[in-house]
Amino acid sequence: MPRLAGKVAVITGAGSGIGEATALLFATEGAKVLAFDKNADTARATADAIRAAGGTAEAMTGDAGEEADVSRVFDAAVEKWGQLDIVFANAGIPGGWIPLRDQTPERWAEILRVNLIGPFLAVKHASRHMVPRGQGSIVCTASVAGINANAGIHPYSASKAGVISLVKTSAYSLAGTGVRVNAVCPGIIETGMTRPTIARLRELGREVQMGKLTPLRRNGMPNEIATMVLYLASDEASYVNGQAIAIDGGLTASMPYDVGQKS
Amino acid sequence: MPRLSGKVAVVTGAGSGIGRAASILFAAEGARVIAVDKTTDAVNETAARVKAAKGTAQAVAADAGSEADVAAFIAKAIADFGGLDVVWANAGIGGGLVPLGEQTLENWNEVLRVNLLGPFLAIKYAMKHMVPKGRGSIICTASVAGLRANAAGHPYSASKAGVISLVQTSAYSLAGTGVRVNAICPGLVETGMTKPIFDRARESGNESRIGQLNPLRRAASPDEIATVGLFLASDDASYVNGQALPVDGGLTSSVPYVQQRV
Repeated sequence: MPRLAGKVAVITGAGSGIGEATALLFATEGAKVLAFDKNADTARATADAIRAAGGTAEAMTGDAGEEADVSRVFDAAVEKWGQLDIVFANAGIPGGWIPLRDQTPERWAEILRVNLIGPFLAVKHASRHMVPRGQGSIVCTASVAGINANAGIHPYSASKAGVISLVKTSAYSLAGTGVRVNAVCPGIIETGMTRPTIARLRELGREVQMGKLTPLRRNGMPNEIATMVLYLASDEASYVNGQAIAIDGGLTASMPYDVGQKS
Repeated sequence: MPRLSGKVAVVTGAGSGIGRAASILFAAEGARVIAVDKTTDAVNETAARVKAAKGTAQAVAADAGSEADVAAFIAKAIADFGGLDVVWANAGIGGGLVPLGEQTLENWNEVLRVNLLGPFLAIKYAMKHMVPKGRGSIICTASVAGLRANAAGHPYSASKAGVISLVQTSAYSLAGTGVRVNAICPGLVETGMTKPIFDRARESGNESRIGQLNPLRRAASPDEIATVGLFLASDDASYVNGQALPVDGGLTSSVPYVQQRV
């Protein structure tokens, strides 16, 4: 039996990378998927790919950091399919690599709006539908950048640290309701967001070094995150709650170290 | 010899609680202190207490989340005292305890502005003066709420988690410069911000239950946080960097548990 048979899932940032991979995997496992993205073309492409493979999906366009849009997408899922079981609040923006001294409060506020306020809005409005039914699983995309330094720019890192906090505090807010809230913390994953960085390192001939930093000696792929999200979304994870789980090849298991050194 | 002899320190949120205790302690240890708070009367009182104890302090009324204000009070430290060695970005707001479904973006944005963008701005402007001198210590007040749930409201907790991240990421930005950046995560401390909790407990006859969840079985005084700030500010902490130190009586060393009646 498929692991998400009969369930309804909303995925934000579903047009590319981790969100796209998760949408395709969820549908393969029997979920009806509402693919939400700010880019109408990519959201539609994800839904089309699911339907081409015999699955059920709809596409919707909106801003994951905008309260009206977030509220609307969950209402639409319930209107279309009668319930809401799973939310993957995955949409995020990277923020570039701007030196600390050149960063502005305006840029910080925008990154916090999408990466942190977005998941807050997802929890706020998803729980509206989930609590009355006494069940649900909410998964937010945090990052290893929310755990330690040097995995993202300052506001990106702070926003992801905030997401890790949000799933813990929200797990307690939803205590006794049957709704679980968890986060995934991807490491270096090859997605649209990280492609420029990886391409630049490849040009510089330093790609090998980056892979070397993890004990697995390679970057991760979006599907390797999607499988963890599937686990957290499914009933198999029925006692997993309030956790932020790193999927990073072991990167955060270490403090900085000399790459040439034998450990 | 005083532990901050000859040093210049800026402390925000200095009008009450941890910030006032820190200002008084830093001055007693020989630092010249710029005491910053949004409430003029409160920060004047802090400076008056420092002076009464034969210390040196200047009071500044300012918004620790405003870029122009942060630039101005950092510049004032240089102008008045000729240098900048220690910055403790301590100002913060509680944000209230509003149910998740009723929280507003306005409150989230204001809590993030003061509690998280404030420390970011403090680092941004402090480093301009510290990096050329090749030394300095920046301390940010985070909270156990940034580590775990159930210590405060959602936006407060998220802002403090962001502060913990900020000291880690900024420690790397300042790698090799001689400037250290650390955070303190206070647990239950009786301050202006937490006073309503303590007042409510006393009114309802539950004073004896305050702090019973941590292994020390009591709340902290602001002085017990200020002493950790003194350590981080001083050269004693010369190899401590990028850390968030819980000062919580052991509270965050436990998952939630049911208290045994003895």
